Amino acid sequence: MSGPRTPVAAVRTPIAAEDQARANFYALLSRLFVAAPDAALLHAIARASELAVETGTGVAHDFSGSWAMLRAASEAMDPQAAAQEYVDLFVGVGRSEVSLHAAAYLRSAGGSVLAELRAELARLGLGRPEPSPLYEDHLGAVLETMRLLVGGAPGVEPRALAEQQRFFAAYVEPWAARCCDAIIASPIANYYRRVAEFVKSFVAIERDSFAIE
Amino acid sequence: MRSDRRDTPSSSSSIPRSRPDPRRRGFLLAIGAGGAASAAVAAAALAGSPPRDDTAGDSDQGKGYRVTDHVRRYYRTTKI
Repeated sequence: MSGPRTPVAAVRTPIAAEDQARANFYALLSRLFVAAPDAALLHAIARASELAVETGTGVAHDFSGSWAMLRAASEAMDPQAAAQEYVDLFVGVGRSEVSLHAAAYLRSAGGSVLAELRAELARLGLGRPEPSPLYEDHLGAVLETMRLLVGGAPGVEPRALAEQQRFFAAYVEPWAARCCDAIIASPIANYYRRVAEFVKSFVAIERDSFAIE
Repeated sequence: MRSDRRDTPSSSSSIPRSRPDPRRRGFLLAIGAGGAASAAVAAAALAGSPPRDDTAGDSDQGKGYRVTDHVRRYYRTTKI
């Protein structure tokens, strides 16, 4: 292979270990909102190691604590029950218990959060090649976008911190916590209460780490 | 490589991770973000088999929300 060009299958720009970990958590959380966890995923979460907390900050404590709760819930949860809970909470256009769409929580100056988000994804080169019934402002889709920005994917380069922060500040931070609060407040939520609490703490960690300059 | 390249060395918005912030890295590592926990669950999240189609009756309502289809799309785009 000669010249400066690299083949499409070349290794992506390597990222730091802590950023790979961030991308991994985004992958997990995205997956949990795209659909209910199956038995294999529940077992994987239950078997995952705990998060060591070396600092005394509240945010760090919440993060490791909510991770421990999610692991415990994953060990106890039945996949059929998780699937039913997912359907009861999130599925049912117009009558789902809790909306997972940003448009339900945000107000757009231009009129459409979804349209703005699609434009941003196009600008980032992350537009969808095929139609999907999962709208781009769905929490699972938004978390997946963060995963791609932080960790990349085949054919997709990870992005600089400033780009990650830009998307996070516009399309995650303004509504993720409120969406999680709606889940936590729902009497239907059981496993997803733990998921939501972990998402809240992870988003707080992300917010604080972006603020470090 | 398709990442943007800008010539201004002071611009960190287009060149991934050219100048890692040690304080930020220390913060994340201190709270365990670099641990093995994340790798294990990410592998499970990305490589596991898609959930079975839920046929509880909601799949054809409204805008055609179909668990299986969009999860398949999700896995297609994340396979390594």
